[in-house]
Amino acid sequence: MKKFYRVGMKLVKELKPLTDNLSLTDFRRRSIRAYALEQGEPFEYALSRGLGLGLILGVLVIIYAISSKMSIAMGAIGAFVALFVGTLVQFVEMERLIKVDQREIGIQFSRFSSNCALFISSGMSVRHAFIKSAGCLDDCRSTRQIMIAVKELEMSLNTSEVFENLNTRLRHPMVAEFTSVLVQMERYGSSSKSDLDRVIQRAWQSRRQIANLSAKEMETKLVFPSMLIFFGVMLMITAAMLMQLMNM
Amino acid sequence: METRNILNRVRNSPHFPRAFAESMLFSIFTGVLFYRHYLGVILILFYVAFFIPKRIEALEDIERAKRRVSFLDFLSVIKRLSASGMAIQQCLIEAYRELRILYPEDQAWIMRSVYDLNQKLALDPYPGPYFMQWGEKDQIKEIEDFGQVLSVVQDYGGDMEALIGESATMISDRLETDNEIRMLAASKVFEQKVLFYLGYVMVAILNSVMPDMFQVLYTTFIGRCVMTFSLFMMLAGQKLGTSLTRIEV
Repeated sequence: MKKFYRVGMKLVKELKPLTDNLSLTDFRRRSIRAYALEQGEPFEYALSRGLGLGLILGVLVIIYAISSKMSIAMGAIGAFVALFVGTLVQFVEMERLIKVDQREIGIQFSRFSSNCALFISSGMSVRHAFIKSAGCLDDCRSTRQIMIAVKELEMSLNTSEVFENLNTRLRHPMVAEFTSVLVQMERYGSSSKSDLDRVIQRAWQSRRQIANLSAKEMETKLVFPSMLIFFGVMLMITAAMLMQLMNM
Repeated sequence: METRNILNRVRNSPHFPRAFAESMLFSIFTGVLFYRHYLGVILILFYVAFFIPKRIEALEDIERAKRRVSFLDFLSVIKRLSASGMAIQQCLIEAYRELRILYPEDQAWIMRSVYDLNQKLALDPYPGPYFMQWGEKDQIKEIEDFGQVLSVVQDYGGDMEALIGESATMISDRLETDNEIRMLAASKVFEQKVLFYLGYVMVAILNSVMPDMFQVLYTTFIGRCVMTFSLFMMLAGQKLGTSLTRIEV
């Protein structure tokens, strides 16, 4: 697995210009690189999936080329195209994973940040408030990054350094804003309380937006199960009619 | 381990009798309508094993939503009481009396829970851990969060009234979003339900009006395969729809 991962890392570095040319925003591009270099799990998954698909497609193209007596050059071009498609699939897969992660963070972070703010308003230090509020988080891949930051804070590492590392790992604008306010609060006292409240309000708004967006998407997605049920019913009736006609 | 957990949850759930009765009725009805054979009923009974936990989960979700609303009422009462300057312990004792106006039955979930809470408070005056236990027992995150914040605020001090107000706002926001989502999906969910039951209704009507037409589907091998496949499609559609309508708020 390690060898596979190393090969994958090398490949990502090689493909860096390709990702830069994809029509993604700058933030997303950085996210892909961050995930590829810092989080092995989704990267390996996407890589194996994409390259696996490319390999299967390539082999199928070569078999087809041999069986239909096409020239070797055509077969090779086909296999290369298939591999290229597979490589693109892995980037699409990574995009999807990033989207899922960002959504998860958006949901979990609103609760986390408002608890943190409540603890700070009750007189706790930023460091302790951050550690204490981690108790409300569900266990998932994205929240594990926050737990790493909590462990680092428990080990008495520098607060701003810990938050900086967390931002690099998560690449979520809400987390970045929240942690920057926390760092300022620790440095200059509680003068940034209103900023913190504003960030929390925005976190809740974004959570609501995520839920609304999912609901809107669901409205369209629900067409597919309805179609499935409809086809089930139609199949039953048409099959009965056809079988009766065939028996006549 | 996971299977054992599910089995324990199913066995201990108060919704088990209802879910069991519903699933049995569903399987018998489906078996009779789609196969007209006792083997068909037995075959569908296997589906019940998967159906019961899902049904219990759905019933628990409905119950949890109702409980969240009751907890919100409870928080509003506490907020009003704490604004008058009472200590949190006194607020909780008084809240039981105030809640009786909203929930006259002693057996109402919130009344039972607040009564238990007050009983525990008589032994130990720190309510935070009790809230956390309560939230864990009834699987309501908001109560757990409230308990956690309450215990920290009790240890370190802070504005209790603001805390309760904040928690109440948080829960009401979540409920509002939940309702919005339900409203957005309501028409599609209903449409899907109608389509699903339409299959059953159509089979039943055609069976009674033209019994010969469907006879071929019950007596031949291909007919049984067609019925199984269409039933599978309908159930898959239903399952896919249910999974799509689950959105975390």
